[in-house]
Amino acid sequence: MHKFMALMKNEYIKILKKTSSKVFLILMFLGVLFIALEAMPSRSYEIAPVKNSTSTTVNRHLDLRNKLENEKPPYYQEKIDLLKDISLYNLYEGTWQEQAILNIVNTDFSADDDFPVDMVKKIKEFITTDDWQGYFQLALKEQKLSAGIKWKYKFCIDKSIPPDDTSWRVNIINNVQRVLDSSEKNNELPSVQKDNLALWTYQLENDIAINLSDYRTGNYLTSFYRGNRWSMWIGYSFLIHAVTILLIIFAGSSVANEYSQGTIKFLLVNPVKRWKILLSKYCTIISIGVFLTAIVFFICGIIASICDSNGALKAASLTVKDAQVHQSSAFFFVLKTWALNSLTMLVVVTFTFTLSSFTRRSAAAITLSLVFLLLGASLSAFLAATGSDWGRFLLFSNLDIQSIADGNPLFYGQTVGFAVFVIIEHMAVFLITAFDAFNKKEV
Amino acid sequence: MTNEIVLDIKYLDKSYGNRTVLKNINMQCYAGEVFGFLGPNGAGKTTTIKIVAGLIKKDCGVVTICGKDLKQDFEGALSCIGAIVENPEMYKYLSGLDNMKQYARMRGIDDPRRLDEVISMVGMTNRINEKVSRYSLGMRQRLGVAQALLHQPKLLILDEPMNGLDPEGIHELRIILKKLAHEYGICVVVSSHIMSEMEQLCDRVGIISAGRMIGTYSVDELINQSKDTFCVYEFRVSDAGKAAELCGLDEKHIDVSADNHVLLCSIRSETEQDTVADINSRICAGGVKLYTVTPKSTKSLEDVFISLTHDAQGGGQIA
Repeated sequence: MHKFMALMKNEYIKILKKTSSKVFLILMFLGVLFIALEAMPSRSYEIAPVKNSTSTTVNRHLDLRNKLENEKPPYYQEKIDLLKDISLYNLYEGTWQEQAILNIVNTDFSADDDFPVDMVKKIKEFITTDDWQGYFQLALKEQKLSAGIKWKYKFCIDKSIPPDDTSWRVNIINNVQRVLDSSEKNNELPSVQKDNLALWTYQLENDIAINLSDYRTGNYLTSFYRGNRWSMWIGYSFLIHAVTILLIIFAGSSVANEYSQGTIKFLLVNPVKRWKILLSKYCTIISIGVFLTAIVFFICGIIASICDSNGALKAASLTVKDAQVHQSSAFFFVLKTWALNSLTMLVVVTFTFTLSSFTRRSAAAITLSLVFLLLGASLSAFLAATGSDWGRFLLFSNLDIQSIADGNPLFYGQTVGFAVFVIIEHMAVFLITAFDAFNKKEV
Repeated sequence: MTNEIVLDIKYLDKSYGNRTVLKNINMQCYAGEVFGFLGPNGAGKTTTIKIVAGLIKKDCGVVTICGKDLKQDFEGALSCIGAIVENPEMYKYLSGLDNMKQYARMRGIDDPRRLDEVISMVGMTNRINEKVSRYSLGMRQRLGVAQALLHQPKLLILDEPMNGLDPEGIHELRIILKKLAHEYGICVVVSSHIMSEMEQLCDRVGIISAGRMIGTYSVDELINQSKDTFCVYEFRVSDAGKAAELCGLDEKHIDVSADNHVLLCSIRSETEQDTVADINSRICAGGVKLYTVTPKSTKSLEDVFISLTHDAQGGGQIA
């Protein structure tokens, strides 16, 4: 073991003492810093609430209006007037004020009951004074509301959350409302919706603005604009590509340069078995990759913390199973994401290393690997899109483990187990080729 | 003096496809001697050396170094060998010292004094901290020798080490190699095709040609072989015809030149010196003026070498 460490030390010295390596390292770090700082948002973003334009005010609820005109239920004329008030008050779509009016319009009155003119007057007063609490309490007491809306009003009152000003809550509250409404109609929720419901209520109860595990909203490049340090940190993981390119250069030249410099003879006339020499080269490169990725990881973490220094929006990794929500640490989720993204780096660098050993030409090894890296993912996506199912056996179709685990694979029916198997099989072929070529080569 | 056998090669074969490069090579080299491995270009010297150094795989045969089989105990066998194969190539962007440290680390040598010792042995102490890209060829050769000696090997293999050295460098290297063999008891194997060098440096010689071992000889044996039974002396005289009568040799051993100034005599090698002295005194006694006496056409070691390794197909074809 001690001797193996000595071999690795040799390889480290050989890589790091070269001027070109130092230059590339510096360039990589400068590049990473530059991109990281450039991508830094200039201020903390909050999720903008969904505010659609009011340009269609006149035409909104046209269907509803036509239905009222055609069917002429009791008090339909009052209802139509109320609908006109929406444009009168200049109410945005989806606001509680519009909802207030719609609540009345959607209530079925029988001909015997009086039209609740006083209540309507009070409601209009609440609308103009922007007194949502007053309206909600009134509505809960006196109006017949759907289950979702009832829950929403109660929730807003209980938590003192104004219904439209805190951004991230609005979408979730509306989602919950919708699910509750549909469950009322159908009397039975599919398990997916039950899970979602549990998740959303958990988020609302615990003030968790961003669920990192939600691949639609929590991760990757879209996260940059979520204004939260954890999702920003996840978003920065694309910088692993910078490290990958540097490592490709190191790996491609590692074995090939020994041959082209002629130093291979002196390397091999040593009392060390050939495979140990090659293994020490491989381990050196992989360990350099780990160190560099770790450094970039922490640099991005620091930058993300600086951007989001007040930590206003909370994020956590939430998973739900059988309507039970499990919360785990945001940090470990970020770590896991970076580690999974590094998987691509590991595999591609192994490929480079194999080419370097097999072809003994550093330029070819580096170039082919870069092509492999840049086109591999596109090729897999292309094959998936054109329905060529055999594409599932290719390497790049199986590298996005997180997507497969989320149930969103590139090819139909891919499992994590299959993906892991394909990756291991490719790595085995690469390493066996590399070692065999090195062991057998007559110098 | 029976020393231990350091390098033992038996029945070594090597072919590339259907081209046989080595056939039935047998060779033993002893501790404390300088063994010259001679052969024309393309004979298989470098191939044999590469097989012993573990760079090429043999087809069949047994190579034993210090009693360790190369195949079965690769690491053990190689730890007894120091070698320079073809040109000594170093990492050009590292200093000489860094290069030496690389090999020291691979061979488990921790002591920095050993490094200094070996470096001063080859005379590189002043320039050892400079990058190898700044070294001359001679310096690189020396560094190569230093690298080979680093772990005190029992067998030192050098493939044409005199290549590119100036006369002083060759002289120094010769001294170092002889010292290593005769004082330190290392078996030094040197391959070359410069006969004059081998004559001065080696104790024993193994000759290979077209992939086959011609034989192993001691240098004295070879030198004796190079001596014919007869050798020719040229006498420059005032009257060659008269000198011919006086010298006392048989007619068929005498040749008189056309201008009557040169007498060529074939003299028996065994009694060479006495016969020459005798002829000298006879010519002078007979009143003929004697200007110069020159030995001619001693068959050189080179001629022996060429005749031994003469390719049966002739014409200097590479097999």
